[in-house]
Amino acid sequence: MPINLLKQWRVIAQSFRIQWLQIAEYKENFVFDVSSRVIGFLVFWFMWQSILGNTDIPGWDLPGLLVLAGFQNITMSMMLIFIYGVTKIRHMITSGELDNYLARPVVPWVPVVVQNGYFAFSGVLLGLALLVLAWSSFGLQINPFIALTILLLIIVGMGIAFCFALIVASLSFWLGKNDLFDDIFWGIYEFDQYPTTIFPGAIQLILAFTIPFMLLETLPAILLIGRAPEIVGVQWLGAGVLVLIVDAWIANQIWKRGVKKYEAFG
Amino acid sequence: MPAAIVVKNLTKEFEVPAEGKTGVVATLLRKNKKIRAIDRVSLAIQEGEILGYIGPNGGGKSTTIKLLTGILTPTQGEATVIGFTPWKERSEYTRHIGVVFGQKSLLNWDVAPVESFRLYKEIYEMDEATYAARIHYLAKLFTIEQFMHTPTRKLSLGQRMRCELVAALLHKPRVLFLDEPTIGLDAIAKQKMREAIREVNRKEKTTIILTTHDMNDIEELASRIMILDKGKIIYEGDLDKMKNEFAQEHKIVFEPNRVKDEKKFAQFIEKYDAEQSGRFYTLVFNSKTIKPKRVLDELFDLCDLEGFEVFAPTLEEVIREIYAHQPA
Ligand SMILES: Nc1ncnc2c1ncn2[C@@H]1O[C@H](COP(=O)(O)OP(=O)(O)OP(=O)(O)O)[C@@H](O)[C@H]1O
Ligand SMILES: [Mg+2]
Repeated sequence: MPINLLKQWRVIAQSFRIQWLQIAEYKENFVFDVSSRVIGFLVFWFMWQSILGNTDIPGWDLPGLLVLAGFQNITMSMMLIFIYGVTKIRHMITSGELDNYLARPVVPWVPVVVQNGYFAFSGVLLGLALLVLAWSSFGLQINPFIALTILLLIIVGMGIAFCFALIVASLSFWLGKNDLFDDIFWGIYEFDQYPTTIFPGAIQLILAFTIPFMLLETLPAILLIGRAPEIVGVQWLGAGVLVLIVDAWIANQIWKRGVKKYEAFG
Repeated sequence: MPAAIVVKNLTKEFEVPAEGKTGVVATLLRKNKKIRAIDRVSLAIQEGEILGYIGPNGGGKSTTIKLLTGILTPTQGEATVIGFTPWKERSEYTRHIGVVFGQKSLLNWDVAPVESFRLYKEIYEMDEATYAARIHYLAKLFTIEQFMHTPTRKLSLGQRMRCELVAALLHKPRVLFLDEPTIGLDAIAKQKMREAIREVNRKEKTTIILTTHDMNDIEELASRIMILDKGKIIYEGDLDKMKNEFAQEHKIVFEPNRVKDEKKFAQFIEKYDAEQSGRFYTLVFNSKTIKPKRVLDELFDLCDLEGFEVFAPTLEEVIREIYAHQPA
């Protein structure tokens, strides 16, 4: 098992190298990448400024939203890096290209997802910059314990989002060519625009099992602006791990059944 | 020699939409029908053997290979390849096999082949020294040193195909599946590829299943062939034996210079029902009843020849003959 993990790590590292080389082939993308992210942030910022000028969102003011925007950028970029490649899996299922990795001793989606991710580290940097800006202008509640909690929340949250993405993509084993992934995954992603606390409970529950913005964005922001005690972060982390276990089990079952059903077109 | 591959009654059915009305409701209600891509195929291959697996388009060759590489799960039947059931023990089994699909690339399009090789190195858990030695050997054998650092999409088909072979052989597989590895290559490229494949087979005792539509591939590489048509095996056997069995219609074309005995020559022409066109005669006979040498001896006795040529059927013609004799 330890050897196996080491091997997975090496496969991932080389896949990352390939992802990077692919991006480096098309250098101008980097410029687009940074500018689209800056524009995205400005739209977000002016939208909230005008909303807050007219109404009140319980508990959210501009400093809080700036922190939230920081985490949104980080999440968005991590999605592009680690989850965007899942889209390619769906394509490989329907085109028969999955053959290549099925005939090798590897979990097929590992190299596919990493190789086809989008090398969006600029967004992570922008997100961190926004956090630093908020910290220097308004002051934030930060200590090693909170930092560690936030890091774990984001890792678990990404894990849940990944499992969900894999589940949706695996449906292509049965449904063939379809746009379900775009409709469902990116549809749910639309909720990214707002702090999750403003949604009704049912929607929050759905988000928790699909793309847990609470873990990825809202809660880290709340913790940093000191609106909730540290223990709340730990409680959510525990709940997140449980959800992750459930999602991972479902994803694994569906994937295994899907591979049996795989038809290797072409 | 022990058998490397044993297949018993392997069957694979695919579901395809039954044809019929195409309206919205009709499409939703439409039942799928099942087609049998391969139908109770049985075969055995010895270790180190090269089997030529041929047949007309849609015969089921690629389907068989996908089953034996663990990519597809069969509807029925069994297969054991070097002791494994491919679709059940994928993660362990696939360490020992290599596969090339001429129609699909195994290499990442946007980066150089070496980057894909390195990915496979990690997948097969090869250490750095073993990998370096292996790449050195294979790159030389398939002469890819010149371009293995160029992005795959910039390579010609022949260059890419050689890289595909290297990618499949990196981990020294015991069994190699080649599905149309020479498709689209020019004559020289094909020749080089065959030589390299033969060398690997000879040196490493690799068992090989080779699918192709090029009978020269078969003639130069395979010792035994299997013909698959509409999912069923319709012929199986030694290449030489098959030629003896089916390649019977020989042809001799000759140009007489001086006929020694006009009367006997006329009888000879009549006996073989030879056709004359200008100064050339063509005679056709069945080599099973008369050996070509006997016909030639007879001919030499009757006349001096300006020139002559004997035509045996090509493998291509033999195969065409076998396909043609299948009931529709
Ligand atoms: N994924 C699939 N879904 C439905 N039918 C399929 C699928 N794959 C193959 N078939 C059908 O199975 C039959 C055998 O196909 P296969 O690709 O094995 O033939 P082949 O011998 O490799 O042909 P070729 O020489 O053209 O490569 C064909 O009738 C084909 O249409
Ligand atoms: Mg084929």
